[in-house]
Amino acid sequence: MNPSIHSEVSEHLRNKDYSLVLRRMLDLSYDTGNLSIIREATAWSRQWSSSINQQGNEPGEQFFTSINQLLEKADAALKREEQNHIMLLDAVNISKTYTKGNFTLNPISISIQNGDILGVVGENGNGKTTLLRCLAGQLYPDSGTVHYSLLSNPDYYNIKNYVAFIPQRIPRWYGMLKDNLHFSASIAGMHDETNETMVEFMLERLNLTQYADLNWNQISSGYRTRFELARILLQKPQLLILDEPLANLDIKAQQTILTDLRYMTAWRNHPMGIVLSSQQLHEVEKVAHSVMMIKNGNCIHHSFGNEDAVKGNAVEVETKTDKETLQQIFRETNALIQFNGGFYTIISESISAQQIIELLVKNNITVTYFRDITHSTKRYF
Amino acid sequence: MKTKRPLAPSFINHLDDYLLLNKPVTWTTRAHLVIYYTLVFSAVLTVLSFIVPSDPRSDSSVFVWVTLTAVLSVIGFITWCIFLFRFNVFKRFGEDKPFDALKTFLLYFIAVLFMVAPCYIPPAVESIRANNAFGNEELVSDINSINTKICQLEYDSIEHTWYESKYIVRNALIDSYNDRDEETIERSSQNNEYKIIDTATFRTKKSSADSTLKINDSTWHFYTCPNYNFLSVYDLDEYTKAKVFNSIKLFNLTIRNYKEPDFSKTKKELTELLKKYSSSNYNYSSYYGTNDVVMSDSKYNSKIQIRYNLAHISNSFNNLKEKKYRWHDGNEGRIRIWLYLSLILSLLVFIFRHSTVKTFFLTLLSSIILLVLSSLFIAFLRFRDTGIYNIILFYFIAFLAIAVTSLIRKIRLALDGIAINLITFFVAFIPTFITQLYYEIDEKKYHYGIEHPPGYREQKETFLLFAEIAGFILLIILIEPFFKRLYRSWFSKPEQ
Repeated sequence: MNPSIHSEVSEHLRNKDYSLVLRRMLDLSYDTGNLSIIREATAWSRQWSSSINQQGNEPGEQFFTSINQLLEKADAALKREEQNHIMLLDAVNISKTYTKGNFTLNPISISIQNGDILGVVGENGNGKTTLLRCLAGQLYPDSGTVHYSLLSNPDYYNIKNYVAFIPQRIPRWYGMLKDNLHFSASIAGMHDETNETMVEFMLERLNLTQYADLNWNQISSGYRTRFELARILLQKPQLLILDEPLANLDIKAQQTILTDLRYMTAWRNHPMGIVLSSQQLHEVEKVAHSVMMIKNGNCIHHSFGNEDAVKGNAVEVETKTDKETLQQIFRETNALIQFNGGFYTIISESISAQQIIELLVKNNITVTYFRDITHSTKRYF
Repeated sequence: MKTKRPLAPSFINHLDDYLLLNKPVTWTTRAHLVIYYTLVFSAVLTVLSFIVPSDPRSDSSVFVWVTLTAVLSVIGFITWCIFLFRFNVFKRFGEDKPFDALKTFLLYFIAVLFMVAPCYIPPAVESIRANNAFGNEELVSDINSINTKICQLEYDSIEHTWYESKYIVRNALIDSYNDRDEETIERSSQNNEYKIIDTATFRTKKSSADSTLKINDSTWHFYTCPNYNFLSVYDLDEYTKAKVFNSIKLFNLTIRNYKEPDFSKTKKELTELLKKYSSSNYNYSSYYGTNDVVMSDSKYNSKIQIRYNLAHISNSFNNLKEKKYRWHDGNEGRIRIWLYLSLILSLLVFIFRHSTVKTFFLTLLSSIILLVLSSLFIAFLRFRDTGIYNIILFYFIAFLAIAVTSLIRKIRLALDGIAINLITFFVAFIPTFITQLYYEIDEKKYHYGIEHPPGYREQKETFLLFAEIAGFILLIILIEPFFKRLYRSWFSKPEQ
């Protein structure tokens, strides 16, 4: 039994997040690795998704019954083995200088295990894409080593089979989208029924079923990212590297794709590691297990969820109050106040974020936005 | 899956779906679709070629049809190449199975063979139509009948005097061996009536003379029959049992013991025969027709030609001969064109699919630049054939070295890609170049004007044929273990 998904499904049902229920049930069916269950879950999801997506529609009793039946089947088929964290990639002191131009990526070390999501954040032109391309074997680093732990003595063809790289500008697809997915599954060794089942599953899992018979020109850039993700996932890479996957996506789509990525790293049937770059700090921080901040080609911060290592509490505040007033309020706390064009960043070692907001409220300061960025890379911008 | 393709029956759609799900390497070549659509196109073209109004006696319009077919084949080829852009197992780093590269190349080759083949359909159909309309023996029989009947009808207008030549034969060379010709002989003669010839010339003339008269051991009179072949088509009887009558045969049949024919009957029969070979776009003029305008100084042969419009009849016979017998010779050349065109196009497709677009076009550009520079080099240094072959082999070895060393390089260089592309393209032709080079060097042993040893040319042609076959086999052998390895290593490498 997969207790985490079970409890998750129950909670989503309680909260009436039916769309999430469908996705997690599909994940569960995929974890079993049993084709008939995957096929059944896909058909079940397809049956219910249209009615559930219409707002205000409450699924009938049959929906809940079918969930229980599927859960029972999945439980019976699920393998009872602990998921081990395996090292996928270990890059040590990789650096890169372009012969044309004056940009240099200074030595950076990274290691990724399966189930990990590493977020690489930073402003434009600071080396995120260069780092990702070095990890993906697309650029040859000037120094340092990249070790792909599950491959012994690999050539680059093996490496590129092992690591999938989705660039920011996805190369155009030709022909029907569904054919592309069947093709990807086929070259990954999925044939006949398995191919059909897995393509249908992936389309349903990424909510792409209704667009499958279209072509590249007929879908938006957001859906193109999803289709590319579906194509890559069908090829079952060990490590997935995404360069700015959130660009061109609306807020809701960003949230959906990030949560999906988080769920996918935990797929029992095919666990993988993910490295993604983005400028959407808060969104990335919500799903990433570790976040790396790159500035001018240097890694200036690499968080591993080690909260003790952070010095001082930091909050981000949006208010119309001027800086002098704020400095007056926080004078006794020795807080540092910075204005970043619309936002104030208040950093203090002596009081917590909770106390900062209390002080603001107590002094009748109108706050339109507040965020604790103590453990966020945002404080380094 | 419900694939629907235009003009494709359900089994093709099912096959396409099956290959997509189970044999992606085969599916991506689209060879099955190319072969199917080429067969459909060929069927339509064959039907069209049969039903289009065409007189087998008139000038061949096959050039137009072949050009049209070639243009459509080129359009088909371009369309196929556009489809090949779409899916590529190799570039998607999919499952790399043994013999995938070889299978891919062979499928490309077969697909291109099918694409090129329809160009041979219009001439083939034209030949079939000509053969159905006129038999081989029928043509020979009719041309003999026409000539015989003209001889009978025009007996009075024809000049029957035999041309006489008188020779004195000397058992000695008059001039140097190489300059021995008629003109020299005549100049050396002191006698205006008799010409002095040597024994070799005598034997030649004797064998071709229609009649001879020996005056004494050294003095001969040779006689040539007047030309009774008013309608003559070269080599019309090459593939028939019956032979076209020559002048002497016609003389013996009709002139020697001339009997006056039934003029009206013979004229009617001749008219029928001439009408049979008058093509629809040609106005046959009757015996006393409007075209019967003869210049007063015209010779009898020209008069008869004009009177019976024999130029047009001859044209019809020539057209029929060309259409009927075009497949009797030159097939080796046709097969070579077919195979080499297919090989070159399939190699280009193979290279295109295994290389980057940029490197592919850089390879084409590099080839052109090398060609221009080498041509200038050859022109300035006045290289002959051996020099040209040496330069080609030098380039091949140099690019081979670059391609092999690319295996140990850590990054992908455009130069490596160009070298791999070029050696892949040229390897099939290298054995032929080496054989040709050998024979060019060997040729220097033989001076001009002196014959090669017996069987030399046949041996050369045989070895060149073996070299051509060996080249193709070499390519097939090397594709999987060598070229695929080079491409795989080069394409997947990181960039600088």
